[in-house]
Amino acid sequence: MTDHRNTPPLEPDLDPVLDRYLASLGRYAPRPGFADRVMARVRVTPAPAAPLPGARLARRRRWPVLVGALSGTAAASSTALTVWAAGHFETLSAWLAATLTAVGLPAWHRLLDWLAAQSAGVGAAVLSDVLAGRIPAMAIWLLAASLATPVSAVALWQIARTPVRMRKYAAR
Amino acid sequence: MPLIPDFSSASDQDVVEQARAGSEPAYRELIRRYERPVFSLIYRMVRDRELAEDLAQETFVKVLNALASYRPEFKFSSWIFKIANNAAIDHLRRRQLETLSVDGAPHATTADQMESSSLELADRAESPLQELEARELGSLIEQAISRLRPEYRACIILRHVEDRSYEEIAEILDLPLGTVKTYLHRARAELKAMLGPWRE
Repeated sequence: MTDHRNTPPLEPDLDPVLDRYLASLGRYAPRPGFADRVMARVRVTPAPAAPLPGARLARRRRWPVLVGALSGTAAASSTALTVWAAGHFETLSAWLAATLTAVGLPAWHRLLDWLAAQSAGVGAAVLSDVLAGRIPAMAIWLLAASLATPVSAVALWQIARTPVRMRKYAAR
Repeated sequence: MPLIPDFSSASDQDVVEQARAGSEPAYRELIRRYERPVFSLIYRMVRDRELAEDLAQETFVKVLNALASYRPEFKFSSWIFKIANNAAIDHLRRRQLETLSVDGAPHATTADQMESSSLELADRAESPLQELEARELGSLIEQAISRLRPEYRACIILRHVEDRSYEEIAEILDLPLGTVKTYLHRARAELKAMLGPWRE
């Protein structure tokens, strides 16, 4: 086919005789019952109402991704904090020790005294052990990191997974 | 008894909205509005009544089943004409038709086949003399149009039967505006040449 896009268009001319011929052209009608034959093959279904954002999220099964992403973010930040703390452990320890000695330790001792007086619970005992240096703080950080890592991995897997797409309707 | 909605003053867009909401009368209204334009376009393109019916039916089924994907910023008429024209062009590409007979399809051999495939104009409110004259003119111009190449034919039908603007024809046929004008100019020139012996 000739491409006319680069040539100036030719304006359709005026010709009353030809226009009279063309004006005699009518429309043709299909056989009676055309609408019924068409309607027999058409699916009349109301369009679904616009869903609420929450419902749409749940229908698309994206909520595990969202939950995973949020927990993953929390886990990633805690892991990053752990790594940073491990890298700057001496500085952090010195700063914490100074702070605790100056302000926190007296308060903690008073709190622990109060806790010991109130109950001989396991939590208080663990806290006492940590503060007394019998359980190293690093062990607590490692425990947190070992919990955070699998959560992060699951969340990343959910994000990276190819989303399930709706198959587009193909007209017959 | 359920009320039948009155679509007489509704725009195509309004009717489509109703159809999308699940109203069967709205679907039927769209068919009523476009069955003749769509059938006429396809009929003049493929020149076979039975085939034109099938292709027109396919066009409507495709359009009505895909109403959810219709974008209201475009004219509904452009959309349905585009699908109808594509259906006809696809068919012509698959099967090269030869000549038109206003008495029936080229492959019609029996009287029944000729009758079933013959051209049948829709009712017109004209006097017998005007009708006779129109039939004569119509017969000549139909034969001339049938000899145009499909792209020219579609342009002529959309412009002179369906009264579409150049811009809408360009949209329907997926052609630049200048190409549509050129096609119409050349189609008219060819028609004039073909009708030459009958022109006064």
